[in-house]
Amino acid sequence: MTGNIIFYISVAGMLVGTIGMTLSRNIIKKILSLGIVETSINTLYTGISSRKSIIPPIVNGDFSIAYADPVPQAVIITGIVISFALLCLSLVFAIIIYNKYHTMDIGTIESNFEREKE
Amino acid sequence: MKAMKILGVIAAAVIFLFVVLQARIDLVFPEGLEEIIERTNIPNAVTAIYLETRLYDTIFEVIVFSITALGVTTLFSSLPRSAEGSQQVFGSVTVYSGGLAALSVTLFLYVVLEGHISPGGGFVGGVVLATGIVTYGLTSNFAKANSHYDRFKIKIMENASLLIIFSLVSFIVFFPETHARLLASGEFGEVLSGGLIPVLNILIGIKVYAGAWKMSSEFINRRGTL
Amino acid sequence: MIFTIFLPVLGGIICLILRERRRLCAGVALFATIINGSFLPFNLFEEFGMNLGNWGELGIRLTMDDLAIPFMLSTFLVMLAITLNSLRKNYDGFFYSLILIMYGTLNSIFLSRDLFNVFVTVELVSIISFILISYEKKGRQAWASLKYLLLSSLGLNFFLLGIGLVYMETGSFAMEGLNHVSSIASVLIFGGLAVKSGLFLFSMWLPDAHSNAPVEVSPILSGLVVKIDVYLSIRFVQYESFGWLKDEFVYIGIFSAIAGIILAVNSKDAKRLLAYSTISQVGFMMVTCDKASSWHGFSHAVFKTLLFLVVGNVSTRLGTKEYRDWSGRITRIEYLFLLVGSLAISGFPMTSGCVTKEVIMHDACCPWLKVLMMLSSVGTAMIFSKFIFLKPSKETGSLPIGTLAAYSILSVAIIVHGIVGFEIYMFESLLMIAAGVGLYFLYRKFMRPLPVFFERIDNSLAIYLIMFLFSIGFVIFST
Repeated sequence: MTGNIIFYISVAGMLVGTIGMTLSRNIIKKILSLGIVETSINTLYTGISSRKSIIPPIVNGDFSIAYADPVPQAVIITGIVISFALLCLSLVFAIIIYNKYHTMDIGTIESNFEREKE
Repeated sequence: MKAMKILGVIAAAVIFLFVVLQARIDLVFPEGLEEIIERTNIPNAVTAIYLETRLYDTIFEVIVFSITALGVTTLFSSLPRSAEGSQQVFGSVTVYSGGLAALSVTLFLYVVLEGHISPGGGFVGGVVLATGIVTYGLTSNFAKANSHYDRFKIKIMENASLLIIFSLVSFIVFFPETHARLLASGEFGEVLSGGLIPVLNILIGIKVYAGAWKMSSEFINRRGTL
Repeated sequence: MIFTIFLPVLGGIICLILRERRRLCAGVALFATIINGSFLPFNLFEEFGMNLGNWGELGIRLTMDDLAIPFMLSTFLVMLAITLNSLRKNYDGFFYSLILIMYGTLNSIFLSRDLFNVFVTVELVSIISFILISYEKKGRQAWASLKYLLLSSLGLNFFLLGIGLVYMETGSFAMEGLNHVSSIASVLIFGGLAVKSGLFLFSMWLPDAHSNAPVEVSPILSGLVVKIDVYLSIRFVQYESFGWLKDEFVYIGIFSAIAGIILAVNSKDAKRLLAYSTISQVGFMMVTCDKASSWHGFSHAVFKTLLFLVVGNVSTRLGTKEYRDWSGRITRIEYLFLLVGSLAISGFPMTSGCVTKEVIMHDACCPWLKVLMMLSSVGTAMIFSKFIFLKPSKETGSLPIGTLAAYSILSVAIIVHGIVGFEIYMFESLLMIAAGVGLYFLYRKFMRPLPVFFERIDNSLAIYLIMFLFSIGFVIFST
């Protein structure tokens, strides 16, 4: 039951983040929206673990209790690290771009590039 | 331009609607917990999977972290730094953040050493320690916080731990039987059990702490440039 | 076999630690690549399959099979050429470490049979390529990197959602589970990876990233990083739940092949032209999506690397990327290698491009498809007539020894592959080249760069989502 609720909420979060990435015109806002998508997908994996039970899988020799599934929550640690790395890198690129063009508005940056070409 | 965006939003909405409608959530509940616990001989199943059954993922994760830390440093190297003396300090926060840093060191040791018995592990420990020190650097004295990086030779520790993690992982991947015997010899639920898993936890903790601190300090060095 | 993964990664870690000593790192990179390559002939044809750590179903499975051979070969050749070419330049140890780790990780992708492991390794390769693209820290490169990062991360999150659904349905991340999963999971897996594929409209970050990257990085992006999705698509088509994908690729692939040509023909910038040509070639590969296309992936990686290296080196030497300005200034030896690459990609007999391209065209399912594929082949010849009819200068010119070795290895690979695989019916490709050259002379007066509407970040994101929806619609109507 908990798993289902978390699943639907995280999918909704992914939708919100995707819409934010499509609509916002500011680089930082786009990066934050990407952060929302990544957090949602990480939450979704914990939701997958807690489909049957929400007891943490720290076993003291008693296998009769229904524990939460350990596999998704173990693998998503890797996913969390990767999303952290991506967030850091994207902010670095944003800072480099800001130092060169002194704006965060993508319309201005892109028209700059297209004018440079001609 | 505008029409394109609206179409994109509609497309995203429809995609996720299909996901919600067609996902089959309560179909299969995998079993295998018992086998994992029995073979690794440690209580925390998450650590057992993270550092034993799916160890191969973890080595790539550690590499991702190292590469990002270095990449951030390299990409930042040509950008201007913000002025040194521009830090503003509030009295009471200084007291608390120092205590918090000391507390985070303790918590780091606990989380890392008991990672295979109770909830925790190398990654969590490293993040806890980095958070404590970064909070101290942000609120009290950044230069002082930064000085420990050279004083304790964190760079060498980081490099050494990366190399040792890689060799240990290769050892476990190439000789699984030896490691299985090592795991079986420990006492279930004791700190000194779990074969190489606590060692890996400590090393990953150091590695994650060093990388996280390095990245954060690069960002703090360039505060206000965005 | 597993050494092909661990050896380069170990070399990369050593370079990471000793990154201040430039020459040592270059030596380590060259050494690790050559050692790995010399084991390759023994490794490629052995039966290999292991569950890491004897964990069976719970662990990660690595297997070697026929599909991976061309990709592993091309990875070796491209990495060797790039390391050789980079020797005389001023790259630090971090660059070599990135390249080596990427080498090991790519090998891991080609061997892995675990979906989550594929996700992690693909993300690692992407992160390395983001750093490599903006290695010279120019504003344009940072922008290309950021655009690539945003799109590719969004796509890989869809992929992660897809493998989450697979886990819920089958109870494991193993690829065997893909035989019976729901269609929504399969479409999420395909669509998530398609953003990295280089197909037209799915990945419009590509021209900017490929054309602005440093000289050594564009070949990696075009020859290897794009091939990850080609490989994984060919792999996934083998499973039952992806039966629809083969039908969809016929349409998407041929559309991408033609669209890439239209963009490339009108382009003036040589590197951009090659980037558009990558879009077209990937489409061409995906049309059949079987073993033949994996060999076309191999030959594409080899000649595209040669072309990108020559074009990159020439444009840094002359200071301009416009190919028209090169006329009369490009030395003879550079022109020779440019000619080899251009002839190979247009499908001249006795080159690798001809062999693999003709095999794919031979396999085409229906007449209309064959006609369109011939048209795209004619178009490729038309694009590369631009390079073929450049006027070389009088002087022979000389190249640094590393660069010369890199060019020669790639050219030899092209020609040997072309002669070994040659069949007599392949002479028909001469006709297509002739038609392409003729069309080039007719059309050359009207070439104007097309607007970059779809390459703006918002539009490329929106069009990606729309194409994703198109794929979902395709699945629903086809099943």
